[in-house]
Amino acid sequence: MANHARHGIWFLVPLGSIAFSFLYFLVLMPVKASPGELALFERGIGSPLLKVLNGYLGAFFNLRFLGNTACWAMPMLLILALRRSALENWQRGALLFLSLAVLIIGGAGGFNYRYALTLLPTLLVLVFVVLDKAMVRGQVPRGSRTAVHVLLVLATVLNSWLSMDLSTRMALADPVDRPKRVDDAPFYTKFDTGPDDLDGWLERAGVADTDRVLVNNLPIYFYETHRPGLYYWCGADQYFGPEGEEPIFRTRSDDEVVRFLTDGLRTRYIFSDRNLSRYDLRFERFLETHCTLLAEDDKGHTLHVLKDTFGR
Amino acid sequence: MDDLVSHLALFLLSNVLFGGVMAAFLLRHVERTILGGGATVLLGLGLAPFMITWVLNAILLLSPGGTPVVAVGGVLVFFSSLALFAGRGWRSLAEVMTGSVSLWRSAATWPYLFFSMAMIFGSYVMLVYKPLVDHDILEYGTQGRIFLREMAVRYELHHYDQASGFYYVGLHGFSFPLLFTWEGAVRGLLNSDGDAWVRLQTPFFAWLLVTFVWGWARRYGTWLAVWVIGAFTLTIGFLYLNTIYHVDPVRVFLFTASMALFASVLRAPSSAGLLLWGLVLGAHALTHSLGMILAPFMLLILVALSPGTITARLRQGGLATMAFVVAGGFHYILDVTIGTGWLFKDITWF
Repeated sequence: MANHARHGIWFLVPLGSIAFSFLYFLVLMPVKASPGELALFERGIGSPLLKVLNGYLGAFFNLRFLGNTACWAMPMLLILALRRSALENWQRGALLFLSLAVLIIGGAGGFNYRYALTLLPTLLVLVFVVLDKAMVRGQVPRGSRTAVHVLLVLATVLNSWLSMDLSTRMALADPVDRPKRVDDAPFYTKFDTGPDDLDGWLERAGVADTDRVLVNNLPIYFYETHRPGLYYWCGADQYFGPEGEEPIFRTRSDDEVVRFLTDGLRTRYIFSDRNLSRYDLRFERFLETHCTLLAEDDKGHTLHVLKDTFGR
Repeated sequence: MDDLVSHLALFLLSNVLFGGVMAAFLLRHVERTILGGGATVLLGLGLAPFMITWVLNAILLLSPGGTPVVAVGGVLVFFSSLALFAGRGWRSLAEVMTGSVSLWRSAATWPYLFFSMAMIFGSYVMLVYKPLVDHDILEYGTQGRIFLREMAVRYELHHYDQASGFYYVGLHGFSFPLLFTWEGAVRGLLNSDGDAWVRLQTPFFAWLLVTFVWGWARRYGTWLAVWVIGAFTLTIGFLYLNTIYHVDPVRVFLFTASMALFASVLRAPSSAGLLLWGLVLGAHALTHSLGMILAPFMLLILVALSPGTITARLRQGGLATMAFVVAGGFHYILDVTIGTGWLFKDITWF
């Protein structure tokens, strides 16, 4: 009986993963962005707690993207660090490097889950191997060990389902994403998010081959067409020119921006999409107040032309 | 040439044939005890596209303004030389491949095959229904095509293309953009156009990664490996990764391989193992800045913890560092000194 109870304690690992997933997705994660904080919201770091969970310690706790198994790597790394004298040399080296890598990725780029994903395969190997060895040492029967491992995998499946559910709830709460989500077209038809026949679309909208277009973070313009463009990202107000980056809006009034675009950058057209434009409220408002919408496709790509350019 | 035939020809040449050459070369020159035969073959397959871009980088940097024929010819000569120097590695490769058939008899292999088949099916759906539309890879692709148009790789303060107005904001090594250059150059010779080969690299490297992790974890238990790849492939981030064309599967594969090699060379440092480890670290760096940021820490830990006298450890660290610099670290030395300044400049993070 005592043995069963002792062995049963290992089932707390997958059960803990499941409990953490419910807490994370149903309590901690918001479904709607605060105005002007879209970038922080989309990266899941909109509050101090989430900044730690999904950012600095994202390699362990960013359940939205990285599953609910890697979180066990954190206590394991700590326990192994405390028992380092019992480890072999290569294990100490790997442990030290992994710990440093978590800190570096968390500190420098952890806000982007893809960087934390770098460590995921290694952390999963660590979790499963250390857990298995600990259970073997605890004389847990093979069947129970297998059950714990299988439950961990199933907990991952549940976590992925909860993550997709969160994405759905976020999309339904979002006026731009909602129409795409409720559209009942087959999923594979939604992979192609790019504009159809971009060159022809621009031409039909009246943009000549030689017209320069301010392109708001849509590199497909440069990849698919041979038209001249000006690379810009409204989210950070960065125009990238021959001398590097410079702001367009930050240091200018809206009327000055119009003059700068027409006289300085020699452009009248702005190519963007609804989703990207809203990363900066002023840019979005500028499109409404100082530009005319020339064309919009069914994927939300927009082409605006400046008003009042007096035929320039 | 028919599009499908040219896609297939490019894959067979760049991934299968060149991958086989790399694998045979590694099996000839690196002890099998370091990674095991199967993992060495996988590493060979993963390093082949990197080596293509490394050769292209060298040609376009040292002899700019040539023709695509020269660049493609240079790559072919390079791999032909490796194939010759592989010697008895070819027999080892045949042995490893034949030996891998025995894995099929184990029931623990079937779940892996299931995951593999699911990934292959998913890749097929994606390749058919999804063109190149993802943000980052479009930037890599545009820069890769600029390399091809100019037949030159330049280190300069601003990667600004006067003709199109495109500004390459990436601060990473050029390996990934050069995949587009390679595809464009070969397709140009075949009178075809497109980017299906580069798009295929995302699922191909994702599959390589899963297989490598599976092989790595099998050392600790055949079923344990199944649970590890089960947890990995069913993680939502990995599933997303397979619906986005991106550099990530390439760099995560290279990072994971460098971790496995790191553990191995710490256990038993050998010259070949250290050189291979340095090569993989360099490949990761030439693919992505994260490789450059993490590599010095790994190298320092090796020197600090490797067995032997301090002189021996410094020698080991020096050997691996040399391979790392030649394979990929050189990019950042050039970029910091005569290029964009890499991270040592005013960067707006977003």
